[in-house]
Amino acid sequence: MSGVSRFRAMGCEVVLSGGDAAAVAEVFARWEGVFSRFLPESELSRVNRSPAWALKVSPLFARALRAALDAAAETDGLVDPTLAAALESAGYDRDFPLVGDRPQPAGPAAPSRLGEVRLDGLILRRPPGLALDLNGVVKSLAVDEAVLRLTGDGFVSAGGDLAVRGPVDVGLPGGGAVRVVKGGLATSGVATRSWRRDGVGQHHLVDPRTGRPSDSPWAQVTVSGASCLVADVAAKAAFLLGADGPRWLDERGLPGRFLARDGAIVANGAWRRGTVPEPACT
Amino acid sequence: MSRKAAEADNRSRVAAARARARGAKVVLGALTTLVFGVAFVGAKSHAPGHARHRARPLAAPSSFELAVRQSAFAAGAIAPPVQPPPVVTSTS
Repeated sequence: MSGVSRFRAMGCEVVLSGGDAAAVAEVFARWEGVFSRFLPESELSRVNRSPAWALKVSPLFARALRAALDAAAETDGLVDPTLAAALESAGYDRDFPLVGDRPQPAGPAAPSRLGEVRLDGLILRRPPGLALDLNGVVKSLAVDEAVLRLTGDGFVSAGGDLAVRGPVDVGLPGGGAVRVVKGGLATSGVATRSWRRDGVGQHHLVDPRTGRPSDSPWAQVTVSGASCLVADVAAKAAFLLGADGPRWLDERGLPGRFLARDGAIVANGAWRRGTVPEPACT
Repeated sequence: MSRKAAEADNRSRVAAARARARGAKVVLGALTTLVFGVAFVGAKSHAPGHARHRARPLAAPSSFELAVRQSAFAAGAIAPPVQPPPVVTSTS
């Protein structure tokens, strides 16, 4: 594997090996330019500001929104692109380094409005004022596209959302490592993107059933998927499902590793089967 | 011309007229059948309301939907590590 390159994009560190960093950076710049909630001229910001009930979006926007709606369907609405208002209410209303702790309380809960969004081809229909947040899928989609730009075996990782071309060993939260042979690996949790409002802990993983940051017992959930998108969506859903997360992943054959808030590590059956060394022949 | 000869001449003219009428009917019938047949085949071939083949359901076959669903939400491949990791998965 060739040398490792690093740069910053989408508010996190991107690490890659096996390809040209400039080509990968171009991919991330394009996705960030379209989907940032905090760039006023991004397409997402313009869509969220638009007073129209129906509007035509770009093919890239439609692709990401379709992936987000599919993720919502696949997770029974747990991974939801209509929670931007809930995130802002919790305090995530600017680039994360500027969020910080504040003495003011968090705003009211903002439940899901998933049923009000329709996408037909490039035509998006939703009530004006319904703000979308596609960050649940955008970073992993960018990683999946970026890994296609690699010229040899290697990986692309953005804030821990990772896709590989050829086997790569990856360090895990709480210690240990795993070899990602194919596909992607993603970790979702509250270790980094968390803050306080009026002394109450907040984070970016909003439970659409309550419209507030989840009170999941997990600190971080790591999932292996056929792509980084699958891994990321499944990790978020498993995190939000709390104690049911390991079973939910096993029902879908997805390997998952859960780091509890008390430091305990729980691996579901698919993860254990994938990571137990084959017994040596005797 | 005698009366008998005149009657025979009239009968032959009527018979000839009837024969011409029968011929015209046959030709008209054949033309009608031909035009109907051509129109029928043309409509079958080109009109959207007339299927050329047996109609198939508009939905994708269930096997295809299953394959797409499985590939859309399928597991990756993992194994025990064999060397120090060059990268760490962290919280996103």
